[in-house]
Formats: sequence, C-alpha cells, structure tokens
Amino acid sequence: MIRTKVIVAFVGVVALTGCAHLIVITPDVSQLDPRTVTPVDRNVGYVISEADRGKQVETPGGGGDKVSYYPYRELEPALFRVLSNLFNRVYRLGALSDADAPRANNITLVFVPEIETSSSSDGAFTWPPTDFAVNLTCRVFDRDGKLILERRVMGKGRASFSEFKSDFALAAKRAGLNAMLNLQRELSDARELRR
Amino acid sequence: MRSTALKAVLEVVLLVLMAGCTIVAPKYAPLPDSVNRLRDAALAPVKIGTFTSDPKNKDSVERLSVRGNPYVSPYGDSFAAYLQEALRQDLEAARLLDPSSSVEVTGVLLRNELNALGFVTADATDRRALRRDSKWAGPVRQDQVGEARVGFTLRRCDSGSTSVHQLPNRPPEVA
Repeated sequence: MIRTKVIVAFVGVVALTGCAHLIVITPDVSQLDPRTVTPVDRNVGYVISEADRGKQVETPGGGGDKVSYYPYRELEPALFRVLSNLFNRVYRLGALSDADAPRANNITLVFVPEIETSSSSDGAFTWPPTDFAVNLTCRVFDRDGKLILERRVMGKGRASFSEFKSDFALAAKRAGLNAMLNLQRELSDARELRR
Repeated sequence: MRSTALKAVLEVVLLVLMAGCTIVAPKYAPLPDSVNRLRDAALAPVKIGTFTSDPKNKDSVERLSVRGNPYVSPYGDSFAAYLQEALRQDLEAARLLDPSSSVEVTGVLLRNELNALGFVTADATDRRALRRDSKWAGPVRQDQVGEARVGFTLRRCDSGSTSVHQLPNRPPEVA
C-alpha cells in the first residue's frame, strides 16, 4: 500500500517536473518575401561558430517551467533566407579569419550575427511562453576585416493559449520572423552594402 | 479497495505518460549549398506543379513513425506536398521560380523512409524516392527517378517531449 503511494508520488513528480520543455524556434522562412527587397549583385558570407551553433539556452515559460532551444542553429535558416533574398551568393564560413573562402568565392562582405533571447508567460497552468523577444545584432565586415556596418533589431512575438495549443513555439517563431523582417529591411536600406 | 483504486490511478498516469504524441516535421528551410548549386547551374526559371503520392504505396509513403509516434508533414499532412514546397522554396531562393514559365515540374513520391536511431537524440534521414516529370507547355518531355534526402535531429527529454530539427549542415540532395 505504502509502496504504491510512493510510486504514484514519484511518477507524479516526474510528470510535473521533467527537464525544460524542448521547442524549435525556426520561423516559417517562406514568409521572408524576396520581392520586397532590391537585390545587390555581391557574394557574401556569414559566420556562426560551431560553439554558437551548439549553444542551448533555457528561458522562462509558464507555471514556473522553462523552455529550451538553440537560438543560433534554429534562426540560421531565416538569416540565410534574408541574405539570399538580398545578395547573389551566400556562403557559410567557419570563422571571420577564414581567408581562403572569400577569395575563392569572390565574397566581399561577411555578416556576423549575435543573438539574445528572452521569454515569459502570463499563464499559470500552461508551460509554452506567451511572449518572446529576439534581439539580433548584425555586424558586417569587408574583405579586409574592417567593420563597415552594425545594425541592431528586435523582434517580438505573442501567442495566446488558443493559438499555441497546436504549436508550443508559436510566440518564439513570431518573434524570430519579426526580427528577421526588421533585419531584412535594415540591410536593404543600408547604402554601405551597395557601394 | 483503496489499493486497487491507487493502482488504477497509477496505470492511467503511466498510460498518459507513455501515450504517443504526434510529431510534426519542421517546415522546410532552404540551405546555402543547395541554393548556390541551383544558382550556379544557370537554369531557366520553371514553375512548380502538383506533387502526388504513388497510389500503389500511398499508405507507406504518407505514414511515418518515430519511436512509435506518428510523424506527419506540416504541409497538409502530406510528404508529397512537403517535397513540392521544398522544391518551390529552393527555386524561389535561387530566383528560378516563374509561375508564367512554360516549363512545369511535377513529381510522384514513390518511397518514403525515416530512419531514427538512438533514444534520447538521433540524427534521422528521411529518404524519399521521387519521380520528377518536366512538361514543356504540354506533353511530358523528361521523366527522371531520383532520391531526396532530408536530415533531421531528434531530441527527447526525460519528461517525454520530443523536438525535431532540420539539420543545417546536411542539405537536401535530389539526385
């Protein structure tokens, strides 16, 4: 009898705690419309280090729970889409000091993103975040390694219970899409990238 | 009596914990290697027609599972539609999509297999055999059978939730 109660209590604790809830924050990149920008006839590269690509973060969800995701790895497809909407060829580079690739592929600009995220929820009984924010800083270097542009954009996303019950990462995906749309507009307007 | 009730509660809780949840595949996102390859190929723009499942194998190509959980496409619950959307997005990113083109690409999904090894994390490869037809303003002019591979990573935490990523370093390959 006591043994059964202990087992029930243990299963209940495991069910209620567990690890941080896994979500994937990659937005629907098909919503980053290439028809809204004027293309630039240049080849570019971007640098996301393997350390950043493997960086897993936890931020708050609802009811005291946390959500876990990989900001760089999961926003990389959206960053690539923004750059490929704007430029002729887009290459992944291992590092800013990766000097051979720019010469081989005629790369004239290198983009280095820095991503910070935060989340919260106004729900006490559901764990998915109702609010999510993405702060994205993008630094652009020329082929000599000189910083020629720095832009900082923010993306915010909100999702109510009736919306996120079929997609627990909806607020995060909306924030990521919002940040990338803002970045696309900033880069499209930047004269420094068209010289 | 109370012991029996507690056991029943325990069984229900365990059943809820073990019950399979449907896993939705991540939406497709074009990757640098495949888009650059398309741009380098200097192809003429095309339009995308409808991709369908092989009627003889419809159940096996449209119904996949991962560790006992149903694994479904985010595009109308159809993996044929997933391939259609993936090709559309790759061509759009490579600036090779033109709805007014006289060349239309359609496809038939012949085989669809998902291999996921490992329990907590696994790299999975979804292999899809595909017949592609190209029409030049009318009759089918080219009929090719190839294979598309899309890489995913699956992670499961000890509370049972599972997430799936498209692998950024394993571009889809269409032979």
